[in-house]
Amino acid sequence: MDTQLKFSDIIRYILLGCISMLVVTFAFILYDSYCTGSTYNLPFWVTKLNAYMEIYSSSLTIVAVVAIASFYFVGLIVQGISMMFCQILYYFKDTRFMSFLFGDCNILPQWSALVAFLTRTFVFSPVFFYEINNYCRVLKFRNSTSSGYPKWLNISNHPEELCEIIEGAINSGKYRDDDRRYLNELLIGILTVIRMTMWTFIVMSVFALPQVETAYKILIIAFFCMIAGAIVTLIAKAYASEYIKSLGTSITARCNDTQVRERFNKMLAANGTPKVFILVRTCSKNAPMYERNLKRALDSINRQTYQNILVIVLEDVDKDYDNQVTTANPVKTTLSYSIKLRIVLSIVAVRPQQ
Amino acid sequence: MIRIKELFLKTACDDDIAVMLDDDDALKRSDAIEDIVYMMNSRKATICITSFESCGEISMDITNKGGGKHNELVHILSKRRAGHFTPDLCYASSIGWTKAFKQETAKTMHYLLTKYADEYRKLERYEDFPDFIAFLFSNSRVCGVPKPTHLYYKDKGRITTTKNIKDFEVARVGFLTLLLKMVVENPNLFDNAYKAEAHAIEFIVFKTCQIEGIMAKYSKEANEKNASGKKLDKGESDFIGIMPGTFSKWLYEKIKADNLDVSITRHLHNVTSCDSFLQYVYDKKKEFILNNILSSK
Repeated sequence: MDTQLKFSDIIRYILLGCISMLVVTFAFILYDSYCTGSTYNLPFWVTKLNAYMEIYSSSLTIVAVVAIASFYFVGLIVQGISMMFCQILYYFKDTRFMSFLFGDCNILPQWSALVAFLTRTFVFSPVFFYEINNYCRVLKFRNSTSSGYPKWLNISNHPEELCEIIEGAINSGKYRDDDRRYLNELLIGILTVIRMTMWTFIVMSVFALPQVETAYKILIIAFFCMIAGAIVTLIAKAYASEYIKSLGTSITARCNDTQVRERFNKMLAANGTPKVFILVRTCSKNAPMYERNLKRALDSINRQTYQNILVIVLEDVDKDYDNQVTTANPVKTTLSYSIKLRIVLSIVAVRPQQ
Repeated sequence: MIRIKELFLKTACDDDIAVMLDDDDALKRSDAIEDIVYMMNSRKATICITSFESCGEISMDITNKGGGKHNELVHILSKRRAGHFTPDLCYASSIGWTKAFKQETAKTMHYLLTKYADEYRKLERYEDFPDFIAFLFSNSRVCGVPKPTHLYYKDKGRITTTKNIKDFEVARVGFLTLLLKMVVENPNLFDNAYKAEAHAIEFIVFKTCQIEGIMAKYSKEANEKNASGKKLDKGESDFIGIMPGTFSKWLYEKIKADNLDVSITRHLHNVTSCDSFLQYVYDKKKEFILNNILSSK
């Protein structure tokens, strides 16, 4: 997750929040016109909204609107402050003191995500802009080559080339990268629609409190939407996890392609960024040790300490290794680490020319 | 490992670091690489000596106090700025000094490895004594990581865990001689070839003392078993009756056969024969033992 919070991000958050509030209000007007049969002149819908507010001024609607607005802005402020705090800590993450304090600085983005999650859960009003922003962020991650990839893989001189290599490795695998993008975005899109619909219904039901019967119906629909959303999320997550694993395996398997290896070598030769090569000799006799070594080597990469250092693990495998290690395939085990390591593994799998 | 080193040399730049993990090594902790990189980059070092821990067949361990002496040395080293060779590096264990190099150092070492590939092949078994030469290169700067980074597994069947007289007579003698040969034949690699030779000899004499001690221990065990009628292990019978100083004699003869005795006498003026070399080794051994006792107190 990209933890950089810029001023432009804050502006974008506010704009998205305003837009989502307007969308909800607009949906509410349409809903109201459907229920009451009243007609609205859309260019003047804001005036009509005022008129409507006057009608219900004595009801709970005003309380609900004020509460939502308060929660919305409080939520925004809390989230903004916490993310900025995380950002400040992130700037000092390379220092020994921070290392000592947190043990593993990798906790910072997780912490930031946790704060965002708590804010989202308990202060529900920013949900609309958050969902939209989340979706935009994912799109940004998918499309960007220079800033979208995790920091530790940021090769300042040749980011495109590295990504090209990774993309090449993915494309040569069982699944095409386009399929992966399409599937991920489709899943995220469906989830976003379901969750936004759910929240729209909930907010609308609050507005419609005076019409008790309709409100109950809407609440029931919203409840089912929520359950459906949760089920879809769970299935999607489980599927994505398996999918990522299968994708990683295929990368590893296919990275022996001479073409990929040559491009990788070319990229490294042209790159001036300092690199650490972990040269692992793998012997069939010591398979468990190799597994542990690889894990530890990858752990060290995961600590995000190498802002400008590319860590590459090269392995030299004895010819019997692949045949003998069947029960505990080290590559498969390591794949369960995280998405980040998938990218590293595409490099791990580069073996010397036989 | 040679193939993978070649790939590293082909793809890496001067400032890139190689951390070796042989099939009997494991990383001790997940931040080991971080520490090595931090230390090498901040001290601008080209070689990093790391602390290590041994496990596995520890009873067969012949490293200096299971690496304890080495780790003490690395601890001292880690407090210094990275610098050129100092005599105390002779005490460092090769397990710890052959783990992290900058590409420029690895390149020179690989050049030597390919140049003397036939000699390596002839010796069959492998000892990493010749790698000591890396400390002596003109551009070498050494730093240390005090916290253990590697876990060294002692397997049965390795040169350090088997009692085989040939490993002493051929492999160890051969690799120590090879080190001297490399130093003598490649003066262009050092700032001061004369000094480099002196340091190499210092290391060779230290190793000779250490190996003499190991052989004496094996010989004593074999003699005792033989006297009490116990069954001797495989290869153990060859150590019966081995006289102290045997290894020094083998080494001196090999150095002489390779016409490297000139180099020895150039530095150790009193050494003009096998007996005088033996005497020198004994004197040095006493000195090392005395130093060890004093430092442990």
